[in-house]
Amino acid sequence: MKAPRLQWMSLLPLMLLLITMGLAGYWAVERTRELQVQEVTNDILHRIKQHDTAMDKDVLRITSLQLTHYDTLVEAVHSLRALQEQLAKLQDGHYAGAGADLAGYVALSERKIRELERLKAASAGLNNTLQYLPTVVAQLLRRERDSALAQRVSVMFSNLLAYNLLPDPASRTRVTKAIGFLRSETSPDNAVLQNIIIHSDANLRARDNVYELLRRFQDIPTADAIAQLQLAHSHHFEKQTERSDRLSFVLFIVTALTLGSLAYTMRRLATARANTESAWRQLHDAVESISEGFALFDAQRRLVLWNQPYKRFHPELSQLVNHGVTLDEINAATLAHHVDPPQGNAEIGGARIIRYTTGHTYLISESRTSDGGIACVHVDITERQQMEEKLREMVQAVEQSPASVIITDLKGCIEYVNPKFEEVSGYHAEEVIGQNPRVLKSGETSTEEYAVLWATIAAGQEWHGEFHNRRKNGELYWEAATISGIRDVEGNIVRYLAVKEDISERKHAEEQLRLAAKVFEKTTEAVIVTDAENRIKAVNPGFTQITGYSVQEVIGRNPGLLASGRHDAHFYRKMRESLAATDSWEGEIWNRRKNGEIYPEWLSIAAIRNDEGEIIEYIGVFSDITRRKEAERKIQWQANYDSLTELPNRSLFLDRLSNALNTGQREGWLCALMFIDLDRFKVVNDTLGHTVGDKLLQQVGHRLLESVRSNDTVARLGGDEFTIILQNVAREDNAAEVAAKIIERLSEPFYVDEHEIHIGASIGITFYPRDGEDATTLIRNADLSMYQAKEAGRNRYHFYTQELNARLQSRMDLERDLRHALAHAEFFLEYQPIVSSSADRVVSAEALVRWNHPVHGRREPGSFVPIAEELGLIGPLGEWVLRTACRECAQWTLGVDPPVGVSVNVSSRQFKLGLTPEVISDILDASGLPPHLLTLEITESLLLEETEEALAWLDAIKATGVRLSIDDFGTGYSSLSYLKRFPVDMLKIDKSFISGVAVNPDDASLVEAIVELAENFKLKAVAEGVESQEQLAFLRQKHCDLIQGFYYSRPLTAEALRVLIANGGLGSGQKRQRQELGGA
Amino acid sequence: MLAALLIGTAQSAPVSASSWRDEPIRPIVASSALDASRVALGERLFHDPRLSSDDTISCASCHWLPEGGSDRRPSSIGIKGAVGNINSPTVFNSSLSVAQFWDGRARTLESQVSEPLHNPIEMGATWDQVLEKLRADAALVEQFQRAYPEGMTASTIADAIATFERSLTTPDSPFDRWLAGDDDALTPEAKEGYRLFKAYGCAACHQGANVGGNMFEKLGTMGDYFADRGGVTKMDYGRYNVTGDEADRFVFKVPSLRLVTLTPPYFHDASQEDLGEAITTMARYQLGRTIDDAEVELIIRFLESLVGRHEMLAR
Repeated sequence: MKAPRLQWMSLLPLMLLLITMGLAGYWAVERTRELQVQEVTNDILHRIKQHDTAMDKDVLRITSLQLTHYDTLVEAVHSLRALQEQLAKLQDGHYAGAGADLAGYVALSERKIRELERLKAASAGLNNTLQYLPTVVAQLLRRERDSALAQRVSVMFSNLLAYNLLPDPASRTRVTKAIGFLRSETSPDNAVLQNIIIHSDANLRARDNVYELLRRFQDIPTADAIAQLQLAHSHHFEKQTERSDRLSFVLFIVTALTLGSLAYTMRRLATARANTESAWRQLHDAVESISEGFALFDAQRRLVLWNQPYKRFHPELSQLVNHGVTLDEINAATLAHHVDPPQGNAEIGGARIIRYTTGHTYLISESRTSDGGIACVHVDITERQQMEEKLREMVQAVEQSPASVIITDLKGCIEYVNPKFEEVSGYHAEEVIGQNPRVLKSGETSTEEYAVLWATIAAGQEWHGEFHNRRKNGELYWEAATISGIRDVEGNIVRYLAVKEDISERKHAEEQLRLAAKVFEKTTEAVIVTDAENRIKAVNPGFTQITGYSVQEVIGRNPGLLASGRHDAHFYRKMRESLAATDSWEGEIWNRRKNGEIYPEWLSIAAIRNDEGEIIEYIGVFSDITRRKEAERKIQWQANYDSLTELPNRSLFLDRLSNALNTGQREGWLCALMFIDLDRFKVVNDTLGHTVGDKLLQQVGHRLLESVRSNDTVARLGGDEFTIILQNVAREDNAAEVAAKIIERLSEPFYVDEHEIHIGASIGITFYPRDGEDATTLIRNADLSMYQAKEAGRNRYHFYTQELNARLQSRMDLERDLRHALAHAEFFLEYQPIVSSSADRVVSAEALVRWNHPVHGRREPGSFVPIAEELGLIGPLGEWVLRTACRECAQWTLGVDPPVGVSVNVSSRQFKLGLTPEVISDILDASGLPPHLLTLEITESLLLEETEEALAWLDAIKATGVRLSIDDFGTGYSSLSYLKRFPVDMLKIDKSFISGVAVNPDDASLVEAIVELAENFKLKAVAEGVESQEQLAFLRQKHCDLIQGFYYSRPLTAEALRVLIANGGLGSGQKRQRQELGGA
Repeated sequence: MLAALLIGTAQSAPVSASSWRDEPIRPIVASSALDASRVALGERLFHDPRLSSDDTISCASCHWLPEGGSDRRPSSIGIKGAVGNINSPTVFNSSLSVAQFWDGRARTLESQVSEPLHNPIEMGATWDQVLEKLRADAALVEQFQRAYPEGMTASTIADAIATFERSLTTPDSPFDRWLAGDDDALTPEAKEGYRLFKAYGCAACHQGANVGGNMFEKLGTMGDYFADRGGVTKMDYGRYNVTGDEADRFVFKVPSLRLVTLTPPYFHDASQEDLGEAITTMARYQLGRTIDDAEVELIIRFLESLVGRHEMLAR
């Protein structure tokens, strides 16, 4: 009765202890969290205070004009708001303390920010007046010098400054008075003084306003609010800390009490055990003394005391035993019945076992007492002997058992293990005796399972189960165990017996099976199992995934239901043959999904045979290789196609061309090769960007494809170069028709994003076999024809011709001649006057270069300047032109008033070919021509580049004092933003527009727009190529005064021009010439 | 939550600016530490017309980046050709501003996003509509999932666009290079223009990194702009429309002059097409004086030097 109560009593404190620990743990986590929140909150509040203070400081700095920009204030406001938001979130999420305080503070802070904004505006006004007043006062002082007015202004201004620095009412009164005085004195036409008065007034107002706003700003008690927030916050956390402290005190008391009661219980347990043990010993002794034979002999070996069992130990004794009978008599009487008579005299003081003929065995111990007597104890051990015998046999059986056997005591300590256990576990008996079987634990058997085990066997039932144990060498193994209690005679369980069998092998096999099943279930590859008759027995989820067929739909059916129809009977026969011969087949096969889609798969089939060698199953494993196929195709594709337009690239084009030529040769076909170059594509790319350019190229690709037959090849060689192979054309005309169609299609507007883009194409066409037998020649000729088409004015096609070849030759000659022309002084200049139509006089002239070719005679610049540019000769040629023009201009303008300047065309190439501002200055110096009389005409293309370098170049040239004009204005393709960016002085309206002004309304409105534009940008406009009275009338009506063209004069030699100018501008001779031309 | 807060409170130290010239105009420091995937997403959305009710108008329609981040129209064209009532400002460098819109009604770029989206004469959409359309775009949804743990929501859309807009700064202008110590970065004209800009008091308001944008000021401090112009509408009340405070009537956010040479027309009412005229107008109504044409030209030279670089800005 005592034990359970004790147990209960010891459990209670334990439970208490556990609860206490749990509470302490929870409290610790909660406390840590609180501390973190507190830390973050502290930090945020601290930073809010920092920003608030910084803002106050910056405000003082701006009102005292020490801070000239507001970026730090903007940052402070942004930071404050962000921190306030963080704080609000923190309060929502973690503690409700100080919520109202925060809202109050935020409202204050917002008010402060509003005041701040006003302060910023007012300070800017103040700053503005203080920046400006010194300038305007200085202006006045300079003008008025030492007058009385100057002195008064000066005094007023220093008082104003003083008031701005140290505001006190007295100095303000002084300033107001001084301003009033000035106001009364000043005449309304003294604008400077008026200005001073206005701004001084404004300054005073702004200063007062700033002081007032500053006072309001400073009155907003954000600092107090923040301090209160901090206070509320720390109060909140103090309370929390207090609560935590209280909680920890309570926990301490509980713990102390618990430990106290535990100690008390332990002590009581110890005492109780001591009492119990002594009682138990006494009881035990008593039982012993009763159950065993006991006899006491005196010193004379006479019997003095005995008990009943002693009398029963031998039948003879029941009569014999009585007081006084001697030990020897008793021994003599019993000796005859000994099974093994003792050898020699039995020594007193030992113990011996005697077996009697009655079948009983006794353990006899005789010992001397202190008074010389003998105490005999006879224990009947017959049963025990028999038991031991039996046990020995059993032990034998246990020792040789094929199963591991373990015997433990009630606490589970191992008392015995058999050799099989040693073999299985790897532990020696000595190593485990006294240990708990948990030495074998692998950790793979759960605590719950052990709990069930113990509950079962403690209840006296047998437990069957499996252990996943660990051998001494660390290996894991499976055991099936039966554990039961061993009971003593009273039926109490005294020990536990475990009989265990190593089932690792079996487990392993099971595991394998499970794994196989899992693979079957989880693999992304499809698995299909058929029987020998090829009926589907099983498929896995991978199969369903790939084919779309569910398990139910295919079980029992033939895998032929997947057939795509792409393979013929021969293919399947080969497959069957391979399976029959090698039990396997592997290969790529096209099958059909449930949804009808055909896909490639990689299929492996294996035939499975039974022990008799008969095929019982086929296992097929396949994976969907669509993606792999696609990837292969893509790689293939990328090598041969242009990724942007998806047209064949250069490599495939060459391949196709060579095929076309082979076929053409075989079939006797006429093939055409076209080279297409987009006109103005570079401009699109440069102005609208590559993205737009790329999209445009894609659209061009589409239009080209639409323009040819499906068996013709359209390829993109790169950039804006396309090429077309027309396989078999009946006549050359057909190719021309295609080319015309392409030009027409490409000239239609393109729409990319929101841009409407106009381009065109130049096409070169060459024929096989007429123009070349091999690809290289054909390509070169097509390229050449294309360039010719381009030169001929774009948006046209050109056949390759022998003349072209000839032209090539002549061009090479030209190049050679051009290289020598400068050295041989074959160039000369003509000048076309630029006339002010209103003043009817020459204001300037454009220098035009001519080449007097020794063989071909006079050549116009259009026929050699582009070549000179290409050859890089434009550098020296351009410099020669500039030098000559300056020199000749200096001559004709000498003594002429107003002077007549000169315009010289500058190629954009010259920008990179050494035409530096220094060179220009040198040339001007050498000629003595004032810089402003020289105008350099540049083309829009240079401006289009809009690079920093070009801009810097133009700026530097401008800095030499020369004028800049834009030639052929209006033909470019760009926004007009460069007019703002570049330092130009003049626009020259392209003659193509002028020629149409009288007949084409589009041209007229364009010219009008350019003239207006020039006016807006304060630029001069020159109309080029004016030939008729109508054109002139139009231009005059539109206020375009500067005219260049045949109407007034053709280009003249320098000498003729000089004469013209010297004769006082457009004299009668000029007009006559004009009339002649008009009639021509 | 707590971790997010802890991270949220850790802010980067301000960039040291001691090496710059001490001037009222501060250099633009290139935007850094922006999440690249969110920037990319924002860029995509910025150009996505699905943000408008009839799939015609994207942010970029009125803030066309290559030409300076505005549309160079007096007022923008919204869905179905609707004409807006105020000049659209450049989106470049908007992250440097004290607030968004002429009247500063949005405190952050994020909160700015919803306004044009909902405005019936701009994009005329609702978030529900936009989300429904965008959710049908699997690629976009996936891009969102990669960039935001919470995926695509109205607030992550706004965040992505705002993040992209933060990347739209234009550092490395000639003027900034000059601020950094490169004497040759400015032409003598631009330097003189800057001196005048300060001497005339322009720099009192147009200061800081954004050369404006960091304060509010009344239009017409030294003259009655609106009386002279006439035809006052609600739009002209400016900040008064936000605060309801009489002192804020006719007060506007001082616009940034960083890209002013690229973004005509000028003023909230787009009343000036020409920059020189705009400068003259400012001088009259804000500074109370006249500036002669030669000086206006020099100031324009200076303003031109403020244009920095951005890969999306055409040069």
